[in-house]
This record gives sequence, structure tokens and C-alpha cells, in this order.
Amino acid sequence: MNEERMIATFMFEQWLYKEAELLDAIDFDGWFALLHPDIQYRMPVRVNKEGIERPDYSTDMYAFQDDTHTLKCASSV
Amino acid sequence: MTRDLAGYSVIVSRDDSGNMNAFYNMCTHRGMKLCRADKGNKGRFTCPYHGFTFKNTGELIGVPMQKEIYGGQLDTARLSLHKVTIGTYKGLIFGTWNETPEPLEQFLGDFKWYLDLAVGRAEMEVMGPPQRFVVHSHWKIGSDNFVGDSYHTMVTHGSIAELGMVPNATYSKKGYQVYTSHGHGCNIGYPNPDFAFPEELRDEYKANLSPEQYELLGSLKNLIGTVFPNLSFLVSHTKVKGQLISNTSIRLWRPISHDKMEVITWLLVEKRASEDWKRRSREAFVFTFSPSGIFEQDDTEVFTDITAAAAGSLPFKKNFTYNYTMGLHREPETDFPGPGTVYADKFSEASQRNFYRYWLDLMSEPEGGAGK
Ligand code: FES
Ligand SMILES: [Fe+2]
Repeated sequence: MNEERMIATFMFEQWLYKEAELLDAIDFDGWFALLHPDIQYRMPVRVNKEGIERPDYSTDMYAFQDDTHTLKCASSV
Repeated sequence: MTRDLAGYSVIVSRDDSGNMNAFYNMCTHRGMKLCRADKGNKGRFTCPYHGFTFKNTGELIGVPMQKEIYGGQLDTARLSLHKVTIGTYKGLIFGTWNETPEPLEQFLGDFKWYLDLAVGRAEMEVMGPPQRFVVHSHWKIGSDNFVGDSYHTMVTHGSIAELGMVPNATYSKKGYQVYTSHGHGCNIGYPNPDFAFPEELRDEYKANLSPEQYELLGSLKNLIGTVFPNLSFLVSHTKVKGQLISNTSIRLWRPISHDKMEVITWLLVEKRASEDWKRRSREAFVFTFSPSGIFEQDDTEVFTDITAAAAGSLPFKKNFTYNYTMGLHREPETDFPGPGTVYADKFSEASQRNFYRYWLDLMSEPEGGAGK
């Protein structure tokens, strides 16, 4: 690993700690400010398929399917 | 497709002549599971253990090296897959291990009038695969919640009213509570100043429903019900991103053990609704009722804690009980157009009492009794 990558990894780790700190403190506004306004945050529903058939997830149903608006809503309930 | 029926895997498939068949998902040779996919398109199933091949009608049609190793003596006719009794209503497939069950239409009885509003008001289609998630809850808590518990809404989901997604904290009281024979029941949120469904489909609703059902649909705010024992449905009308939208879903509370269940939830949309309406309905569904849904998360937390509190022998030793007396003092409505026993206003536990009464009836039947 070169020096640049080490520094990038370190910075990213620090960012995650900062995010976790905001969430631990229930500072959702602070956490929210970290997000890009165009964020798309999705988890497709998994499906069991036989053999090597892929994709093994759905392209039209999600366990969550969030953007800034729904994230804002969900973090204020 | 494969589904679970009372703890056992079942294959449901359509054969060449278009008939629907259901079988125990177990090879009759040595018991291996035949099919491991959720769904697919197959005319035959080959067992992964020794390669017995069955047609999607259940017949055993192929045994590797049959002549040589069985000397032509294997009676394949006796090795067909074990059949499961199924019946369909408005596209829903019901199954039972009982070989001579009460006819499905009779089992659903008067409750069809209400179920129709959710699944039979128009030609409906399932959007995507079902949501599936495991909750550490006893399954009856889900059925109980959907059969008649609107009372919890203003507290459990209080924060959602604060968001302005639903009118106000007591919005959940207005409407009706209904129960019918066989333990079925529902709560009807009514009236609604807005039409919860695609405006352009009014003619289709009219054609599929009776005038009384259509009238109710016209001002329906929500509909939450349970088909005994563990199939529930929900029509919910909420404001998402400043726009009102409804979503219709059906769900199974699949028991895994006494303190664990899998929730399987399907989103239904009107086939002839616009793509935009379908997309917004899915967005509302995922946001409210799904593993990440804001209502769902409120509910499952309660279900989990109730289950944990009921664990072990202490509650039995001490004879701890719950209270189901709400609404005992009230008289049913006499002029509601739909069948069953109907109470004006949803805050009652009459539906839950009806649900458990039927459950107790079945549980107290002598062994070898009629069964359902
Ligand atoms: S168990 Fe299926 S072929 Fe033997
Ligand atoms: Fe709820």
C-alpha cells in the first residue's frame, strides 16, 4: 500500500468515527448534513434462485429505497 | 414457486393444461428437498440426491438406471409426490394439509365482502417479489394486531402523525370494526375526504364491486384485516413527499417457532394504474410497511417485547393474562351494508375476541375431529 492510500484509508476511517459519534449522540441533523443531496440509498430484496442464475436480487422491490426526503422523514420519527 | 405450509415446504406449479398443483417439496425416494428456488418455470423437478425426476403433475417419470437396479420392479405409480389441497380466490392461493377441508368459499364466507375491497376491486398485480423478514415474535400477535387493533396506532405510531403523514393522533378511531365467522375480522378507516385510488379506474371498481362496496371504497381511508389464521391485508393511505398515495399489501405471519416468525409481504397494485402511480405506491409501501418501514419498525418492536415477556413458565405459573374487554358494552350496528358483526368506530376488541374464540374452538376439537 502506498502512502497516499494509507492516508486516504485513515481519513475515511476517521470520517466513519465522526458519523458514528453523531448517531450515538442522536444528532440526526448533524448526521444529515453529511449526506449528498442526491443520495440514493437502496437495498434490493434478495431472491433464492437455482444454480448460477443471476441476479439473485430483485430489480423492482426494495427493503429500503431512500433519498434525501425519506431519510429526512425517517430520521425525525 | 415454493412456499411454506404449516412448517413444510410446498411446490406450487401450473402444468401444461393450465391446472394448478401443489406438492410437498420432498422427494418420495429418500426425502430430499426437490426445489430450492423461490420461483421459476419448470415442467419437471429432478432430485439433487439420486436424480429421480417428477413431472409438475407429481408423477415420477424418471429413475436413473431403473431397469438395471430395480429389475423392472419399481412401482413408480406409488411414488408420486404427495399432493397438497389448494383452492383459489381472486388470485390468492390457499393450501391445507387437510384432504377433505371445508370448501374455501365457505371458509371465507361473509368475509369475502371485505377481502374483495383489498384484492378484488380491480385486476391487481403483485409488484416484485415479496418482502421477507424474520421477527422474534409469536405469529398470533401479528394476526391480532391486524384483525382489530387500531387502538395502538395513536401511541405506537404517534410520531408519524406528528410528521403530517396521517391526519392526527386520533385519526385511527373513525370507521368500523367488523368480524365474521371463522375468526376473520377487519377494521375499516372511514370516511376519507380524498379518493385513495387511481381516479381513472373508477369504472373498473364499479364493475368489480357491488354498489355498497363501491360506495365504501369511495371514502375508504384504510383497511386492515386478518383472514384466519395468519393471512393479513392492508390498504393504507398516507402522504409521502407531500402527495397522498395509497398502497395495498397482503402478508403472511409465517410461524417458525412459538417465539419467531417470518413476515412475508406482497405489494399489490392495480394492473391498469399508471406507471407513476405504481412507482409512488411502492415508494409509500417500502417507506411505511417493509423491514425499513416506519410503521413496521414501530410494530415489530412491540411484537418482539410482548413475546419476550411471555416466555418461560412464569406467566403460566402465576396465571398472568391479557385484557380483551374493550367494547364489551357496545351493541353492533344494524344498518351497515356489509355482512358480519359490525361496530361503529374501530376502538373495540370484539374482532380479537372472535379470532381467539375460533382458535380455541379448533384447538379444543377432539383429535380426529373434522379439522379445518
Ligand atoms: S432422495 Fe430423491 S432421488 Fe433419492
Ligand atoms: Fe401498527
